[in-house]
Amino acid sequence: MSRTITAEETKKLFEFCRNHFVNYYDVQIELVDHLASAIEELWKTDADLSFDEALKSTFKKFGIYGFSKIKNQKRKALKRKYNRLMWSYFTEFYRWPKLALTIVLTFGLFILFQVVENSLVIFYAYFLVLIIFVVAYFFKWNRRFKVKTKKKFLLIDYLRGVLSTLLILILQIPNLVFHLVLNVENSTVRIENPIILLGISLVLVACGFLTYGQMIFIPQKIKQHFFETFPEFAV
Amino acid sequence: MQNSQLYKGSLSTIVLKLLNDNGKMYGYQITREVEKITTGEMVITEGALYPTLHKLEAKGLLSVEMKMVNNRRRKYYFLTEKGKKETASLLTEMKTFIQHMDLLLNPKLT
Repeated sequence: MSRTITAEETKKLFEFCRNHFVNYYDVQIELVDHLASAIEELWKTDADLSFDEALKSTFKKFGIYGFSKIKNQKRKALKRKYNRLMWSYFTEFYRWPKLALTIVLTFGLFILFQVVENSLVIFYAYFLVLIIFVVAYFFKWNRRFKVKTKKKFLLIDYLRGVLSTLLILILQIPNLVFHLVLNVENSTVRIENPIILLGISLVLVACGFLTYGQMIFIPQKIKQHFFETFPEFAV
Repeated sequence: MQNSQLYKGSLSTIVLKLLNDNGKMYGYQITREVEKITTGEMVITEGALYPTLHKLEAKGLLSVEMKMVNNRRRKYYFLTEKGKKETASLLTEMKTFIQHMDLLLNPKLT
């Protein structure tokens, strides 16, 4: 039986990744296994080769940009996966059976626009609910998605980035309303054209689904996937 | 030779075909397998392999599974149902392409 990488050496390999600017544990794992497998293979033919020498010759094969290329591409791949997940979640609302819910909500809103004198009231209420929802879930999520380690994960950081961006965007709404609407002298708006109203209703309902997806559906999916992959870090 | 654009464009097909034939494989194993089959003529660089694997995973063609090996985690890749279908169509496409190239490069003299 030829020499295998010890736990101590595995630790060194993780450190090696960190020294080469790969700070995310979920990216390191694969690189460490690759380096370790390559080193073990070298030992099969030359059992006396030192660990450091073997590592050096293995790393050479990655090339100067090897690690950084893998890191950057991984981020891109993650973005793609995230978008794909989001898209398949979203389009479900426009396919049977969830389509029924979409139709009911859209027409409900459409009718509401006809009943309520001032359309702005509906907009205000809608955005208020949206803001409260996003802010509440942002903090709830941040509290909930805790891992039992100090390690950094690309997946978690990515998700946190997306949610923070959404939070910042949503928080711009009051600002926007203040500048655009409150400056209008007559702050009563009534839209009569039914096609425009239907369009607005469709967009508002779609935005609601998207927000729900970003804040609840996707984070839950990612969390589930994460703890399936790394059960030892589950809190 | 192994650095030519020709090979770069075919990396996804090569990876999919290998996984199709071998079931579950990990990154290092894939690079070794390619070297073995082509008797060292073709070498897949690590900097190209992993991005390809991650891309295919993001597209939903591959799925992953972690296993513990020698005190470390190993990430195994395998084809999803979608990946199996895609591999079949890619291979047909590739074979047709090779036939066409052959016709173009070795025109029959009549």
